[in-house]
Amino acid sequence: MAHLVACALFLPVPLAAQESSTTAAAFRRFAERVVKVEIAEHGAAAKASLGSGFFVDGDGLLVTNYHVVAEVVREPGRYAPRVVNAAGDTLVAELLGIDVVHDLAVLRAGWTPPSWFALSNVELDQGDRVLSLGHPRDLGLSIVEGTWNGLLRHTLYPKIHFSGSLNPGVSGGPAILPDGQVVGVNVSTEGNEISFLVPVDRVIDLVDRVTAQDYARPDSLLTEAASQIRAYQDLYLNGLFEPDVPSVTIGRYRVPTRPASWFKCWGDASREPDEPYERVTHYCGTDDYLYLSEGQWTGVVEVTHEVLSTDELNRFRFYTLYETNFASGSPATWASESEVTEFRCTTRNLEREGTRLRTAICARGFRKLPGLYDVVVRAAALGAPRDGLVTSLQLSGVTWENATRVARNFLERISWSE
Amino acid sequence: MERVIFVEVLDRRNQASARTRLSAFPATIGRAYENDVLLDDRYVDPVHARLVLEGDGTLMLEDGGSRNGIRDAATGEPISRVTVRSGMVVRLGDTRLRLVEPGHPVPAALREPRVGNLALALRRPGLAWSVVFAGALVLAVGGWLGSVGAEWATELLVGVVAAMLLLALWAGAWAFASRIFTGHARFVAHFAVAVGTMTVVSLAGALLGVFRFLWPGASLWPLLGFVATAAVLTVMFHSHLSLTGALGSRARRLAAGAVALLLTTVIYTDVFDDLGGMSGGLDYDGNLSPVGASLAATVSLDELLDAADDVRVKVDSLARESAGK
Repeated sequence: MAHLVACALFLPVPLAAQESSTTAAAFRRFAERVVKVEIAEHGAAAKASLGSGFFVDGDGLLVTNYHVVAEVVREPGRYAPRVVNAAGDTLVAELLGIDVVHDLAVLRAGWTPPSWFALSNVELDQGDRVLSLGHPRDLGLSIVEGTWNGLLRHTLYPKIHFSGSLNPGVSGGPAILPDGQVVGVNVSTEGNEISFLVPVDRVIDLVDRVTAQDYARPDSLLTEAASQIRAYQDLYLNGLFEPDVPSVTIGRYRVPTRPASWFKCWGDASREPDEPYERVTHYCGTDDYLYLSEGQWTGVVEVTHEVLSTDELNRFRFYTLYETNFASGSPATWASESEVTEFRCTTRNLEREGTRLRTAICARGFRKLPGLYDVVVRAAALGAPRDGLVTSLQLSGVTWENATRVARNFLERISWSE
Repeated sequence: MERVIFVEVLDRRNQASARTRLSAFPATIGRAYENDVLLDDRYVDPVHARLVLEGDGTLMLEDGGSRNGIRDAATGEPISRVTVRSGMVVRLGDTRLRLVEPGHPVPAALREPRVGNLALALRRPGLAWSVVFAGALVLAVGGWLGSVGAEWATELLVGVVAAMLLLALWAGAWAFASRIFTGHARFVAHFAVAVGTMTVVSLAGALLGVFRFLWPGASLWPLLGFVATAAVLTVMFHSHLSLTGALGSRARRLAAGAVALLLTTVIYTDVFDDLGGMSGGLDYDGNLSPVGASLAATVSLDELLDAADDVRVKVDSLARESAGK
């Protein structure tokens, strides 16, 4: 036993001691540049929500996440940001600008920090050690070690894969190299040390924009958020399902797949021996969720195709199955009633090039960001007695023009042989 | 001229349950078998009252020295001797008697129900059981079409039995009410009403589904569904109520209509959807039909997207409503 303990303690010591000394040194050196960002409701003495942030200039300019200050954007009359510096002083802060797509925000605190992070682009190699600072669960400023695992593939906008543990509260805190160069901003986690950072070049873009001579803070940051989402979707929906989109053939049906490089696709088939029918599914979707508020995520595009076929069932029994399948569509994104309206739908039998497609189009409107919608297109191929295609397209946070353009392209790409 | 009077024993609904024609006076009323009018009532004396013809032709009702006396049925005032007026109601013990002269006016006949009363027809057990079996058959066929898993036979059997048990439970509750009001439970008739309603609802639903498939987007369908549901439920409640014998025919119609309308409104509004605090699901018309696809009304892609624009208009107005709040 004594031997085991000795091994456990003794062997790793030289390496651990060396690492912790640089981490400890980094913490001592950079802690004063990191703050706690609190969102407080007017009238309530205590904070309503919490995140982290860091100084990027000598005039109290701070960077944090959009999702940390989202309530201030949405209800500026009700919520205000304030920051708590390393010394524990609470400072009044003003929200200057946002980048809702990359989940960033810039604040100005009326205080001169003793030191700050100078932002510049960095080159890293996979496996480089990165330190993340922040206030996890309001337990006090903490530092976490992890490794840089490059930019995520299959995302529309860049995100750094950080193998380290991020927890609620560290959002908006800096991820740095041991020498203090900022790599990115803590943003989200999928648990099990799979975490994500916003790359520093996005931060530089926003800070440059906000500190430019001609920058005027928008009267309504909410309107600004809506116009950023519109501009973003013009980018990501542009060219979606145009004639050159790759297609996949499932049974008799030819359907579009992988509409852009940032989509991930999955396919599966179930052929249970004791079930009298067969189901082949094909799914493509994006992971680029945008945080709008606690009650709403958006920005996702999903395509699902499902082909059902049978040799055993007669057409009446098959159609009961087919109808149940077609009728069971549900929205891809969750949203609370205070953020979006109810869905409204219309259904028609679409005839195109000799084929018939029962098509339902459903939409709900964003209450606080007028002109943006979640749209679901769901269609079932008609006419065959023993097989059928149920296909659906889900768009969230899109303008009506974009929705109808993409829906038209999508429906035009579906075909089958009689 | 012969003097005639009818003595009627009234039940709780003021209907004559027994009627005696008297033309020889004096006549006696009481519990003893020698009386002209015989009452089976423990609070009535063996000879309780007498009807006496005076010399001037007036007919008098007089107490024969009974223990509980004669009382005015309306006021409860004791009566020892009173001139008989046609239509007067008196109480002897627990029994109410109406004294009526032959010339007493009676109301005109009620019109017979124009549509044969369904509930009355279902009192015939042969017809009632036929309805039950036909309903079970429809249920079984529907279940067979709807269950395609490996265990479909078991699912089907369990489904049919469970549905029939539920309907039997419903019918049982009504039969209990019938037993109270009429003395007859008429369970099979109630069961037939329940099963028949379910059958009609299933068949009408399937038919409406085909219509909706063929002509999607017609604003008529929701209205038609509402009216049909309300009508079927009205017939159901009316039939149950008729069998229980509760309420008058007018009240029965009103009550059945009101309950059916309320229930249909609940079914057709989003009362249940709004409980979660989340934006509800997709409420689109998912009807597909195994036959008739080539007959279905179709639209072009442009027309489809035009129709979708109405959806945008609707959700925009929903969003504006909430902004105004």
